[in-house]
Amino acid sequence: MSPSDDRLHAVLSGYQAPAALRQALAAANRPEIRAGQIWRARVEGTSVTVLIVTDFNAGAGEVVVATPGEAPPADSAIEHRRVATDAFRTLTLWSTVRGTLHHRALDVMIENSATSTGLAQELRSSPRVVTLDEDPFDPGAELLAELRDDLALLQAAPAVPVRTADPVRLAMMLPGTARQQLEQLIEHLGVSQNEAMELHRGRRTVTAEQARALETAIGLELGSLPSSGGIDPDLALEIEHPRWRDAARRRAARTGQAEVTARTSLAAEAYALAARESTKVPDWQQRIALLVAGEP
Amino acid sequence: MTIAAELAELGHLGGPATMAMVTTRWRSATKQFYVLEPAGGWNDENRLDLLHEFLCERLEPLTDALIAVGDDEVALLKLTSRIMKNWLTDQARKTDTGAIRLRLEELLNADPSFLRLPGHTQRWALTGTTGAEFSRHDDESLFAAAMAVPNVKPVRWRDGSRRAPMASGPDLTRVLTAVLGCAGSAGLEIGMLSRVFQRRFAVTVTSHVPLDSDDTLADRLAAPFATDPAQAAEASTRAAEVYAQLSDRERRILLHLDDRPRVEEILNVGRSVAYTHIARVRMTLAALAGEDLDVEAVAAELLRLAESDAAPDDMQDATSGRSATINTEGAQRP
Repeated sequence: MSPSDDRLHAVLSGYQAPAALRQALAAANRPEIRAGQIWRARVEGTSVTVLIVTDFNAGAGEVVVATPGEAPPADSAIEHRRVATDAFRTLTLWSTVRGTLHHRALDVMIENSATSTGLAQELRSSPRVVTLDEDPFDPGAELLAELRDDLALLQAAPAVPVRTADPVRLAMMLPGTARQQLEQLIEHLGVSQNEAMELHRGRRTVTAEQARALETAIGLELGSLPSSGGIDPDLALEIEHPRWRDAARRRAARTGQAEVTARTSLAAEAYALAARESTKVPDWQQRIALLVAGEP
Repeated sequence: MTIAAELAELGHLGGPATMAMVTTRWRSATKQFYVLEPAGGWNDENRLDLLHEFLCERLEPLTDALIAVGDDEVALLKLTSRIMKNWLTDQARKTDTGAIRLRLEELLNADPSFLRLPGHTQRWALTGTTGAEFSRHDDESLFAAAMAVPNVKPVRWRDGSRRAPMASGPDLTRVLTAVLGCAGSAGLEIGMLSRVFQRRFAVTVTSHVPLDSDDTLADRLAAPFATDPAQAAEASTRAAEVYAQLSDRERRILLHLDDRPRVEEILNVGRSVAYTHIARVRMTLAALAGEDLDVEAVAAELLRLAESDAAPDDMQDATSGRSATINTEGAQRP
């Protein structure tokens, strides 16, 4: 090492991250999601710390982006709050980067303390900040926009395909005019005009294969069209819980699949396992745990 | 060992993989900030000195943030670059503020219509204000007063190694008069004045992408666009002045102000960042509306300049017509 490298090494090693933060990350806790917890949320290429503002209901709840490393410059007018928590020496809460997030994007809980619970409580009781006329020249405007884009990426995390009991009117979900939608159905699914009209009006539901073909052809996110062949909604909710992310990620790495595909295949196998048993209402958490225990 | 594994094990940024990543990212981050470039250019030594300055201020939040990211290498690199870029932007703005302050003090000292308030070495007011006038001191009112001054023209600037001046001396004096007039007899601190001017001339002072030396700009001015040759010549000159003040990124999106997805693609950014850039350019163009000239002709000329500069990729799906893209308020037309 050159003397300048030595000097840089000494500086970079001169600060140790808080033990509470390191321990929380090493413990990799993924409990039920409650207001007041701080989580790492991530999709491929993007990782963001969020404070859970409301309890999660049906897999989703409100979060606010909280950054440990970034804050607006001192002369910025952007609404924010700098706080210290048990795990972070400083954390910036961006009140205007707040939105609904599905638990499929959450990864690891970092903190669940009286401090973080109090912060969530304060955010819930304070009115939502709606800034209609933001100054694009504010010194923090670009950072704020980048954080909003990060939150949008998390919100768009790919979902496993969910089976729907009720046929959905594809007219409500496809782009274009009614005529264009019908043409798309005929072209991409190879169905007759009559069948296309039934799907279009919601008298029939597309199969899983048809849904995937249509999503790919039109450029919709995979899993966004409800189909008759998707995953049971309760199982989908369970398999997307953060507690199964490691298992899905390991499978994805082993098989070269995307994480969502690995989640879908885990769910399909858990479903097949349950189908061989007599229990009327399967305990999906237990079924998946059994399956995952046998994974390499 | 991966950077994430190293961070998790060590709890600091001093491991070999992390150290290599930090120095590589720092090298690319500093490249863009020409206003911070030392005389004689960047070298390993001065780049490292600035890195130490950065670490002196941001080591703790940078370490916590990177450790919190986990084992996603792309996210780690993205976050490191962002934290570095934001710190460098702050430094660039500090040099901007310093430069603005010096220039304003120069103008205030040189003109007897400005008065340094007795007992307040940093506070200035308009000579002859009595205290009876209605005055406002809040940021928005002062900024509005600065924006309301018509015909403040950016100075055409070709020197890529130094920042462009905000405007000509007489134009700056008119803005100073308007802002201090708004503040009334209590006057304003020089720091506050600098902040108002930094905001008023934001495009000029915060653009950190170097402007190319644009000696060919005059040659590329087309035949007069408007029917009145005098008006057309003025529009062309004005457009060239404004164009010279735009950063490379802003020039590239000028043709696509009504096409946000295209701006996302060109700048490789997300929706919100694209909106922010579009809004900045629109506001810059909107400032033209206060001037006594044919703004339509200036806008059309600006677009022509952007078209002649655009990379072939930028032209793909470009606007359907020059004048359809921007109007006199700098906003898009329906």
